[in-house]
Amino acid sequence: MNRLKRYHFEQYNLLLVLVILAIAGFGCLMINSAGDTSMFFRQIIGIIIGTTIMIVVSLIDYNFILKFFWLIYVGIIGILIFVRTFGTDLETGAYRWIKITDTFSIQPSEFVKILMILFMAKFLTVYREKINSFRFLGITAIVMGFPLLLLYKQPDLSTTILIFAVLIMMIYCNGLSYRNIFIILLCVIPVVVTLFIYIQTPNQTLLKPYQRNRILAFRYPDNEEYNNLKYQQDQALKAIGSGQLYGKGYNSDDPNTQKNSGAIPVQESDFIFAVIGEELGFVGCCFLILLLAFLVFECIIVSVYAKDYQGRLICCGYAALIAFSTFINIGVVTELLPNTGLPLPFVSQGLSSLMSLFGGAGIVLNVSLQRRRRLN
Amino acid sequence: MYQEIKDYILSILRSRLFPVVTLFIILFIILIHRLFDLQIIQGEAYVESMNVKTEEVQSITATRGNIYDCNGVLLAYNDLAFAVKISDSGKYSSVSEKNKILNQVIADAVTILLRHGENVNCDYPIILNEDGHYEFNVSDSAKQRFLRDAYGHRSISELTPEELNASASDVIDFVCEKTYQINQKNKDGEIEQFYEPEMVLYILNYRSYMSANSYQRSTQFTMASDVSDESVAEILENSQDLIGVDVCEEYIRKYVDGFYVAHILGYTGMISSDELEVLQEEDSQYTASDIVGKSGIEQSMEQYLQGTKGSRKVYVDHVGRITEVLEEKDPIMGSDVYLTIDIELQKKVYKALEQQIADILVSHIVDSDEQYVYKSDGTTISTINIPIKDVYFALIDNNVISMSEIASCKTATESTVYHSFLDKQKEVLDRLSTELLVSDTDYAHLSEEMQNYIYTIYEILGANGVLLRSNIDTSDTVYEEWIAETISFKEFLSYALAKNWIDVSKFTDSNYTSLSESYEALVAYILEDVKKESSFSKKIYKYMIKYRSLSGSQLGVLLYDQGILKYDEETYGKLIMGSTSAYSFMVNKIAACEITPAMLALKPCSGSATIIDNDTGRILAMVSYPSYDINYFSGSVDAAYYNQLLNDKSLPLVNNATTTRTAPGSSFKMVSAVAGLEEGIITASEIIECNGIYETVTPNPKCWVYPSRHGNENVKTALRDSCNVYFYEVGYRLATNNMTEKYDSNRATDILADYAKRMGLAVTTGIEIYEQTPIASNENAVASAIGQGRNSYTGLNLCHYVSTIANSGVCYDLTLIDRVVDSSGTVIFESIPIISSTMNDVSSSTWNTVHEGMRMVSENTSSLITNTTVSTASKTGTAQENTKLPDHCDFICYAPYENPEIGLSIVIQNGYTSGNAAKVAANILNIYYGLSNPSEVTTKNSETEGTVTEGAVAQ
Repeated sequence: MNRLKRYHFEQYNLLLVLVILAIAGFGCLMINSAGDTSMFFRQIIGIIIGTTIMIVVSLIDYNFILKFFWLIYVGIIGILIFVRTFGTDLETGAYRWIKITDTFSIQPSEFVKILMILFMAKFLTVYREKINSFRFLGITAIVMGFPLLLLYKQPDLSTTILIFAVLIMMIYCNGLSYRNIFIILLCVIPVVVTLFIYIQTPNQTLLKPYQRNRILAFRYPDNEEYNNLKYQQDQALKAIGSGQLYGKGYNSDDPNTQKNSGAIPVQESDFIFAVIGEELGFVGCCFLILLLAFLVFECIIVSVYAKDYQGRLICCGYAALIAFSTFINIGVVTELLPNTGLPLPFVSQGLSSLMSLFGGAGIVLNVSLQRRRRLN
Repeated sequence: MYQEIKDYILSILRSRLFPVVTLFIILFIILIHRLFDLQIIQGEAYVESMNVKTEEVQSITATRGNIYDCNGVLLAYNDLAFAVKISDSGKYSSVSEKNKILNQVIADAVTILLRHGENVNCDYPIILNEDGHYEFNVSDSAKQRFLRDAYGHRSISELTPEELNASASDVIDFVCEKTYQINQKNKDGEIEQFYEPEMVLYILNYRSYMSANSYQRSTQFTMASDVSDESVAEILENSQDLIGVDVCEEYIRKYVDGFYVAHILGYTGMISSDELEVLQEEDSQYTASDIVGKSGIEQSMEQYLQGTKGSRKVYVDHVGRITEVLEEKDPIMGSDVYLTIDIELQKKVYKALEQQIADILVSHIVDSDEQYVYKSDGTTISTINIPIKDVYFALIDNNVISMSEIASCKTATESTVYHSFLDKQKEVLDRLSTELLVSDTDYAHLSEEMQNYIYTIYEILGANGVLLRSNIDTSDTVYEEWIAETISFKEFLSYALAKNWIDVSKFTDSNYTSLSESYEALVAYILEDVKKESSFSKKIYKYMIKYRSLSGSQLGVLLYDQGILKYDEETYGKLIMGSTSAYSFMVNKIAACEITPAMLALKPCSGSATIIDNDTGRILAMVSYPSYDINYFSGSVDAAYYNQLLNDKSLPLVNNATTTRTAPGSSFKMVSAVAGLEEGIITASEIIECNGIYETVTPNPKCWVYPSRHGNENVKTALRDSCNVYFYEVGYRLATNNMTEKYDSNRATDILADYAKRMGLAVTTGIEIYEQTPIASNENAVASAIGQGRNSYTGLNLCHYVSTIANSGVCYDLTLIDRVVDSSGTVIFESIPIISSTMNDVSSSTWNTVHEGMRMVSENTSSLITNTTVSTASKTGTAQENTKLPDHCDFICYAPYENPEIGLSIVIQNGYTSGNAAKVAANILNIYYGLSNPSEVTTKNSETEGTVTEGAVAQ
């Protein structure tokens, strides 16, 4: 209670809350258009619970949470091993879910995203002065690598890459010297190039066949063998393109739309952006992208004024998570990137993702609440 | 101030956040740029691509040509019929709503169609078996492709081992739950709409069609063809609820009197991929959805009947709906085919043949259990009888009386019979249980009844894959003992278990360690399983009939109860009261052909009759008995009817005239006679003495007249008497080049085969439908000369042969086609007689000798002369295949003798004596020449007794 009193509530970042609610509300309306009413209500309930979680978390001192950072790490490993052992694949072949009831299952990798940001924020802060020693970088690689390996093995390649990118961003913000970055890039680039060539060989063992095919389908769009993989993206592209400037109208019942002819698979979750593009056009798309961009930059601003280093890193990580998720999701739907399933933050249907993002936002809000006074 | 700003900017630039923010801005700009490109720059193009009206050329199937008989009587035509089709044309707000609506629509439509007795198409690869369990209807690669689709994989290689090994019900559960939400509980834990397993299959069938064609949502799938007006009315009445269900008009192939010409006309059906490949090579207009001829004339005249497709140029939208018809080119109707067959003659010949086979049965059915009458030596069978109980059992054995209908207990008699069946079944199972678990009797020492049961079980175990026949080492001593019947079934099964000849997984889940436990599980499985096996139930009925717990009167009542006989109050009452003899009831019904030989499938039950025009080779009638109704094969094939045909022991699907080959027996002797005379080894007047036995070769073959003898024979009398010894000598002389060389069987058989070919016997006849290739004997010259050895010919071959003899060696190609007339009435094909070979080198005296010999046969065949006044030259033939079965018999003739017009052949499998064939030939000649039947006043007994018969020769 003492802590609560120390908060200056006039500093509570209402703008951030409003932006998040605006994005989530926007998503909700689009789910109403793309999916059925039961999905819509589920999403509304998700937002209400999420907002509650966000507010509760925003009142807990993040420094207090971060004290247990090794426990968080153990928790992450625990969750991932648990999913591996007891999880279900919901008939998709990837063991990513824990089934609660027949209609409700949790996707723990969504929570791992936020938990990894928290852990790394503290970890990097504690050993900040060692950041440029290669021994520490080696240890960091191992500590980071273990949960990522478990994720990769689920298999969930896209989430692995996403978290990896977010964590790299955090290490960079932590002050890794440009000299070291140069050295690391010198080592990493040949490895990546080699891997990329390797995965294109038919008998490679690193990627599952479907992962490889998706990548090859993107790289060789005219090849018949991979062509049906691009079907989903092509349909989405038609939907978005035909939306033009103003779209075909929200919740359109024109049977000729891509949405209503059922041409876009999973149009309420990973491909929701296709429906947005078709119904609301360029204007609607830009509006949503600007809202998301605003959220990202608001997080960066919070990070600038964070009272300590770990708070700053949390906000950077969170901002990177939103930015990268957005880029990958919309990139996939607009065929900038190979087909992969990542949710659009706060918009796509899916409760695990929503809860985790609201929880993360709560921590950012707490960082904001404890910020230094502005310098004017 | 300036410095302050400069420091501030520098601090920002140096800050680690600056590049991060820059990166984020770039990412968002990339996205917006991409969207700008897609929506603003390319937007117009995308809109157009969606609104684009794709031009498509659709083909319009031409109406198939008709088939007529030689007098222009219509045999096959196309009837405008209604078909019910379904497509996924609904609009749904969610997947669960789509599932709910579509499942319900399919179920409702199927229910309506089934209620009106329509055949609803369902070729889902899973079916319900008799026990109500799901099982796969396909195997190997077809099954894997099905599993791939069912589990939603892109390729077979993605199937997991569990999926590959999934049982049929696993697959059903999976697709019902995951894909189509059939019989699933809602949030309240209730199943909103429950569908029976059979209905589930129908729903899955059409849902999977729709899924497979989801990119072309307007594709229609035929649910039922040729539906009744009542079905149409009910479908239309409910059209508001039946979204996507449509009633269309389409042509369906219909056959008039299809029953009598089934084997000739064949039938049509959906083109198979193999047929498509073959037909497309000749004519590129064929596509995968075409209806084509599948057999018979429908298949061989396909190119004429099919016609030329029309085409329609249309615009379709992006989901495949037609928006505009641009131009239409009408199809050209297929040409009409006129056959040489006279349908009236064909029908009468069919009925005459059926009546004759029925008469043969009637004259051999005895009111006793004695099947074989032996000669004085006690081992040679002199007479083969048909015990009346065999007739009773045949009704059940050939599925005339349905066991499942008995089990339904709809009538009092059914109920009584079923309960005594259950009693008998319990008793039998108890005895079996004791035998298998306790008594352990050697097979040979079991009662005949028990042997029957145990042998049936042995067969069932093999058929069900419990006994792995391929694993059995046939040289194993225990197996040999089992075959030699010297060990018990228990010993055999225990040994088989130990040797892994038995698939234990079929009847138990647990891995029993001890052999005795496995054995007990096996016995328990057997005792349970045989209750479901119809072959075992039939055996139980067999012994119920034998031990009179099921009487002939009861079976008679069942024939009425199950609608096999037309209800007749008087007879029915008498049967119920037991005041009529079941024996005479049954014999009367058979004699009246109300119970046909085909239904009983006893011996005889099949035969053929062929009439050809000697001067042209045109086939005037070609009957294969028994037949079936090809109308059931049009449109949606009636699966129940087809199954019934497949299981019919009288083999109605076989064309007995063109594909069933039998040894010709003595009717071959004209080949030997012509060969002998022409090769100069005999002369027309030469006498050869018949002592009843031919002693030149050992073992000594006998004449049929043995122990009597024919005495002195010349070639004509030898033909008249069908003397075997005479023709043995011909064969022997051919083999030894008239006694000048060492005996060489091949020499004789080569000569005989050559003459048989030139006389139109050992060659294919050239007809337009499938025919078996005849076999000329290439071994045992002496036996071959009397039509035995390996000689084997069809009824059609025999007819071709007798016609060539009548023409003194001029052999025509046979034909079924008279002419083909195109849709504008122009004759585009007219069949002209084609002489395939002549025998100019054969002297006319040889022909005269043979003709006169054959004339003498006619004059001496009482069943012919008492039955017809038409003058003929003929030859009889019989062939023994199995001493325990009646001989096959045939009869060939040409008529009139003085000026031959037609050739006729009759073959009756297991027809006892050639006199029987001769009698039906006489009737057919009367029919052909429009004469009344002089024998109609004579009684049956006098006919059969008066027949000149010839015996079979033991070799």
